[in-house]
Amino acid sequence: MVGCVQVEDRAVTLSNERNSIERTYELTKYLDHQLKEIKDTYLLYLGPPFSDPDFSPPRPNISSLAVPSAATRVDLWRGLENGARLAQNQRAYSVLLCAVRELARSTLCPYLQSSLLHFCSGLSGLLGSISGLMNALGYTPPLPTDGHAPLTTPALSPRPALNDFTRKVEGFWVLRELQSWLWRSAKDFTRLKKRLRA
Amino acid sequence: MINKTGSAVSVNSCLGGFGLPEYLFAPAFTMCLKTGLWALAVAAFFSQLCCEDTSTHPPKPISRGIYVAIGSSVKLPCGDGMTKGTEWRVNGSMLVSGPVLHLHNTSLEDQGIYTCHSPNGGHIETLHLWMGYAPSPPVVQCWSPSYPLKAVCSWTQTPDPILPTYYIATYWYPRTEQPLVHSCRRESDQDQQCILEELELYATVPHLVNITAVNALGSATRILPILIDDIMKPDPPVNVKVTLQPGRKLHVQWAPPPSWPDPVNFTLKYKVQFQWDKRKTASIMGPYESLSMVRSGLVPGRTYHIQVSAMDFMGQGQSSEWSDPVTITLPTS
Repeated sequence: MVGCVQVEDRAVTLSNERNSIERTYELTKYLDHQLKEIKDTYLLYLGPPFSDPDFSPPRPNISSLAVPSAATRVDLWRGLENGARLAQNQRAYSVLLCAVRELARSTLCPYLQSSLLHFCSGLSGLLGSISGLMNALGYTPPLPTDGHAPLTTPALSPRPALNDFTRKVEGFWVLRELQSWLWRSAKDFTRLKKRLRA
Repeated sequence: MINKTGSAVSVNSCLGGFGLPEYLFAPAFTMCLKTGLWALAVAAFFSQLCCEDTSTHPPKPISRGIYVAIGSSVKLPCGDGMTKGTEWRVNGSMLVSGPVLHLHNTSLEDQGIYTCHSPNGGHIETLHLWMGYAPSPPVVQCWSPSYPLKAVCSWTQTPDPILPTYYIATYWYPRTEQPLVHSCRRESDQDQQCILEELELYATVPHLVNITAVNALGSATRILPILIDDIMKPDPPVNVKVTLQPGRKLHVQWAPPPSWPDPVNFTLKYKVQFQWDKRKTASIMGPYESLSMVRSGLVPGRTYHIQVSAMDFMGQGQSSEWSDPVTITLPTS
């Protein structure tokens, strides 16, 4: 009788975990859809050359854009252990949330600022979902790195030290990094779903 | 020893070799004369047997090939370009008299075999003239039908160089440390398509593809930046089957393209197109993540042409081309 209850508990837990991953995955897809609209508006707001279709400025020096890169090789990506996979997502969105908040604060267009702040709510929800999933699966969410408190210290450089063009380049790159991470996360959560199902 | 020019040499050795009588040599003067004549005769005889005399043979004509850009002008000197009375012929017919052939505003029709001849008709030089264009920067397109393992780049040249042209295809990913340059895999140097295999996924910094075209008239390069996740384009779905179900419904099923290596982790979504009225009217349904769908509310007696296309489930990149149509006619009753 005790064994049957334990199996049932485990089945319920797994089902909850899968539901949690499914919700996180759906949230990722929703944010990706939102980002497509925000990005087009934001690039128009930045103006040329940022609004030109094939424009791609050099990436700023890594110290001024402290976002972990989503870039990976397929063999490394496949081999990522569940905890490490979730931790990478957690770290990235912690930094990206701060960066997008800063972007919203420095945006002069009210409509765009409102969209960016709304997007931040979604990102915050995603972070919470990932943390919840990590706890449920028995993993410890990562601590902030480099002494940055992820939700207080901006990832972008201090405003007064930069010129307008440099700030625009950084804004461009924040959205590009966000796009890469959302694409990657959708695949990460798909893989997690399949692994847990197995 | 007879030398190649047949000049007088040691008589005694020659005469001894032939066993001629001694009486021929009695008077001193006559002896000198006859000796010389005999030596010359023997030398001429031997030279016909074994020795080649090149003093009366003309030098072999020079043969060379040159490549000329269409539209340019060219001067072709015969030999030193100064000998008077020479003439240029093309494909055997006389073209111009003079040591230098000028061709202005050349065209493809100027391609051919030109020969230069001396005043006495002797053949001095053969020139193969090849017309064409220097390469222009190739127009390159890349897509990934086998994401995340492979991407394909193909390119064209406008105008067509006409001359044999080969290509160098490489790519690299600009990391902060020293980037590694990879060779983009092809069957041969003339192929205008290659495969990229060492890919960086979810990169914000693009891969750089370098295609260089080279021929006898020059070279030209194109460097194309690509984000692998942006250029996904699956091949069309396969094994499309359409079956009629009760209630005027069609059950359509398909399989992912075999070139897509991992449809489990890299899910595809599908759209299904129904066409009728000789394919003038169409409706598209989907997207579906499953590998089948059922459409109801169809018109009896109508012929439908059904096609399926695939796309990355997040909408990245492009949709595939439509699969080959499957045709089915609903019964009238």
